[in-house]
Amino acid sequence: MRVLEINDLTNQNILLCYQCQKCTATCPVSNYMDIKPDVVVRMAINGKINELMRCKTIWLCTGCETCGSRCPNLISVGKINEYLRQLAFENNIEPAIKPALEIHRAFLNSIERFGIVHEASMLAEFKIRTKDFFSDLKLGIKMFLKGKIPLKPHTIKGIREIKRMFEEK
Amino acid sequence: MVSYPYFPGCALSTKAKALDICAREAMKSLGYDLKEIDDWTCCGAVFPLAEDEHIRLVSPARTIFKASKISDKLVTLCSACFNVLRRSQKVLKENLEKRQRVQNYMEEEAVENYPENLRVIHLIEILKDEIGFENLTQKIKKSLKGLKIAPFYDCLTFRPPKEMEFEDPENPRIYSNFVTALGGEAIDFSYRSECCGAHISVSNPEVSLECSMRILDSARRVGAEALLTSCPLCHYNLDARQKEMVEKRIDFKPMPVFYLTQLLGIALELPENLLGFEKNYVSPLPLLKERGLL
Repeated sequence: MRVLEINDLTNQNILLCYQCQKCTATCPVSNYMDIKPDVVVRMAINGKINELMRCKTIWLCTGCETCGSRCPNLISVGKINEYLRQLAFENNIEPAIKPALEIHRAFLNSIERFGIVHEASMLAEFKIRTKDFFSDLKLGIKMFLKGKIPLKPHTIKGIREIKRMFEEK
Repeated sequence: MVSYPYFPGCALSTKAKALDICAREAMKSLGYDLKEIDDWTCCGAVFPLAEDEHIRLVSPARTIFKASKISDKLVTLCSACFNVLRRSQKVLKENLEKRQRVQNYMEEEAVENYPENLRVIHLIEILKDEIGFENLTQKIKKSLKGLKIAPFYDCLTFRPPKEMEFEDPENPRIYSNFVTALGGEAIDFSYRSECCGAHISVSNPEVSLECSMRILDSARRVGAEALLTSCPLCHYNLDARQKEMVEKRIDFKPMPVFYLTQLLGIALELPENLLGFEKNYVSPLPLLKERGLL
């Protein structure tokens, strides 16, 4: 049963949901979602996983945990979204919001390379991946001039441990 | 001088330098030496929400182990690092099975004695619990009298409350009390613990701009002159992106956003070059000069 798997992996009982819709009322980005948080829970219970993996909602969730901390039954929709994002990724399903996945990739590649985030090369990789070079250019230049984006990356000494982590994952 | 291991994190060594420099200097003048952990890695950036995800706990475990060589407390300041490190430590302390799995990826020394009693603390906890806000009032050199500051409570420091064990996210007081201790006027506003849009400012800039704008509008409506935050990501969304807000709405008035440590720095009369105001997009200088605080 899919719902038991979700319960297991998110460490909560989503079957307790009685649709009070507090999560949707409280979510800061719910008005941009195609499937509202309370419906995500209901659909997850009913096993509508294929639709959920393809919706915008899971890529819009900021993970602020407001839903989880206000839910009377302690259900965090953020955790369900995380589960669905991973499932979508494993099944090679193209995200409804493409840049969301690309920024995750660029971020992780930066960690794998240097051990800490190097923003200049991370953002460059993100721009190449999304083929969008000009949208934040002005802001980027301003941040660079303020010394917020150093050009030279710094690599940590324990980079071998980090590389091993990525290899075995 | 009390010495604590300090984890600055990736953001504080680049785009949030202002938060970092002030912290070290201000704490030094309060008698605390923040020792940067030797050769640290990224904290892990996001706490792994899925129960079968262990690999992302390795990075925090590594940091926590390094810190334990210096003290039984680890101080951090970036909200994201604080969130990840505190939650990871809770899991590693309570869940032996997970800890063993994580230890497979660590040096032998770390496997034998994992520092389960180490506490990950936020810098404000030193100010609140060790120094005490009342004593802090005695120690400051310049009162922020008359400055109307709206403290913004970022998600990452407070939520989820059961795991963070920090303060009730529904009615947080800690930053208000901090502002009051510095002599300023703390302004409560209704969007004070709302999400700023977080990382979706990269993939969905429009949506997160809307979220941040709501917060700034709400603070302005109740008469705030500036905002206070300790989160580098919130600071980016609330400060740097005001440029876009002005373009989007003609009547939008920019409002300076202070880092927690910048306010502390002003009150302790740190030299101006250590306060890092040149890194703020909306410069707080006109406001501070008008009040005679600089």
